[in-house]
Amino acid sequence: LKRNSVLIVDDDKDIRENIQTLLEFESYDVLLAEDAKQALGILESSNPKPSLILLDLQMPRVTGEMLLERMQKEPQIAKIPVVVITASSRPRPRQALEMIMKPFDLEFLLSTIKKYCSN
Amino acid sequence: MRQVLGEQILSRIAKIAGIVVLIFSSGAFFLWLLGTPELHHSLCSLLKPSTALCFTLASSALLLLQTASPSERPVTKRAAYFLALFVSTVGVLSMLHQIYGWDVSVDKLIMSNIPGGEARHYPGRMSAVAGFCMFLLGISVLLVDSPSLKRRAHLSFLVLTPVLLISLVAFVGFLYDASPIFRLSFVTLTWPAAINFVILSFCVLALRPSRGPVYYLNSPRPAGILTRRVLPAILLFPVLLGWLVLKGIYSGTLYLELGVALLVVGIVILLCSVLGLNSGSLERIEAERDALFERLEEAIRSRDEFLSVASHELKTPLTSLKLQAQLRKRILSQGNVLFFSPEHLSKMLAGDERQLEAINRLIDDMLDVARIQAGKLSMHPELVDLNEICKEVVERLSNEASSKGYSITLHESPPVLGNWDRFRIEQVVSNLVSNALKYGKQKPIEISLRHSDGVARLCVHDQGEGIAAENQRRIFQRFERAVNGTAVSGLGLGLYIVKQIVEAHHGQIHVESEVGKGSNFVVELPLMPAPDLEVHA
Repeated sequence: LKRNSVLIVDDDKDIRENIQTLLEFESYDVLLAEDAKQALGILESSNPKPSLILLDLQMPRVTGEMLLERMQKEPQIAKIPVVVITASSRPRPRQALEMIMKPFDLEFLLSTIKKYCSN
Repeated sequence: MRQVLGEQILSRIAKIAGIVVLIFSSGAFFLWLLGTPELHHSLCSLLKPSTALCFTLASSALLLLQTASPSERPVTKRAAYFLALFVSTVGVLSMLHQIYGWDVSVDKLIMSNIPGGEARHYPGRMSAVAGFCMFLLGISVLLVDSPSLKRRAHLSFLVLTPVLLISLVAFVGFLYDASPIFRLSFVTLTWPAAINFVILSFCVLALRPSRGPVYYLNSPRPAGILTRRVLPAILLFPVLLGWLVLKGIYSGTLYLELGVALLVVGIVILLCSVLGLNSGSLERIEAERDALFERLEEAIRSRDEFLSVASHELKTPLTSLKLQAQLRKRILSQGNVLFFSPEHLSKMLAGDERQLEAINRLIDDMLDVARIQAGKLSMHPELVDLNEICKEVVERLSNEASSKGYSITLHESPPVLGNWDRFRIEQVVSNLVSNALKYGKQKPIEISLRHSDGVARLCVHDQGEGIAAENQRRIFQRFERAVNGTAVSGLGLGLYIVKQIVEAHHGQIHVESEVGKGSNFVVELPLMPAPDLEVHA
């Protein structure tokens, strides 16, 4: 059975690493990106593509929404499910399946990830 | 709403006016009682005995009401109302006597013992017009506490309007020497009576300054300012112009048609100027209000943005802390004790400390801004060494700097001693260096310190993104950052707080910067600032 892999995109190092620790305990493969540029690089180069993207909306320079727009241009990347995370009340981007508000509950995060991971 | 003249001053003016009328009319009355026929003859064209008596009683009633506050002393109030009722009755009876000849001998009742009084045609009787005005004056006193009509209109004022108009006609007529009218003495007022009516009307209206024309005359708002500015012109100018035209006609300089034409043109000019004045003022008031409204909207927008940024900034460390706590609980519950090795545990605790420190700093900043706004940022000056403070700050931030890939150089300097608030100056240095760590693009940061002519000069220099010229003033304002919105985290309070602290020490701060080449923040602090360290928001 192939392991699910999750790409975490968040500009806050501590949040990235904490989610990584959690997901690795739950037997996920984890990829990390600290901004939209790195995330795009990983998405383009990785094969197979990640099963799910956890995306922070409020990031410096290129925001989560802008990254989502750019992902739409490549069909291979556009079909990866996206769950967005945010601390401020802004509307859920239409490309995202679900929106999680910071500070979130660990169990809720896990169940949401489980719901959208295919394998 | 505060009025231009306080209620006490207003009531004092009204009291003095009432006393003047009281003295004048009671004096006239006693002269009637004591005087000779020659004196009576001249008094007759000034104030009739019954008129003088009624004025005496009416002014007494008003003085009584002025001493009684609206809610208490019912006896005083009742006495005043009784006097007013009496004045009204005498007025209405005199009027009926003059018009219909119903003789109830009011005047004889009052004047029966005037020596030689009976010899004259109307010994003590007031004219029909005076009687009518007296009747209305008494009624207006009785109505003083009646409920307000629409828009602060006052029932007393409605009743007094004919009195004021008649008085104006009488006064202007006297001024113009309109003898044909005045010869028919039973339909006119004498000029002292006209003046007395105007003064007493004012006293009645001044009893309740929150209503009627007194409110508008005394209002600090545009309506009041306009009323005060325009009313004297409206009252005086036409009267004066009419007097001049009449003089011209009598002397033969003007013929009648030209005189009237000049009068009309003069009044048209007056009305147009009043209109122009009003339009100009209204326009200016409206523009001021618009500008104020824009500033308010801007302030609300910037506060809303601040709240949203602040909650985001607080939630980020909170998210990490919550995640960590739940993660540890989960791992423990799975029995995975090996996860908590001493190295791992100390790393986790350092992380927690960092998050807590971040939350603490955010809250401190918000509290400082609130204190500055309230003018309560207190300063405790003592003799401190700025060089020592810089060393401590660099030492404290060295871990953060190296983890982010920065090097900080503090240039060697002898001690720079000054009379400053140690904690606040440390905050200044620390905020400036933290900013450099945020915007410095991982390039070396330099701090230098000198002093000359009693002023310490601190420079914090980075080689980062730099600040565009148009933003260099804005960054010191509240809630502002050079880069917009979400690009770099932070509340946009740091430099605002720094500037307030520096200015409280009577110092200055500015930035020298070029986009792409970095920024140099320069703080100049007097070594011995004046003892009154204060913060002005």
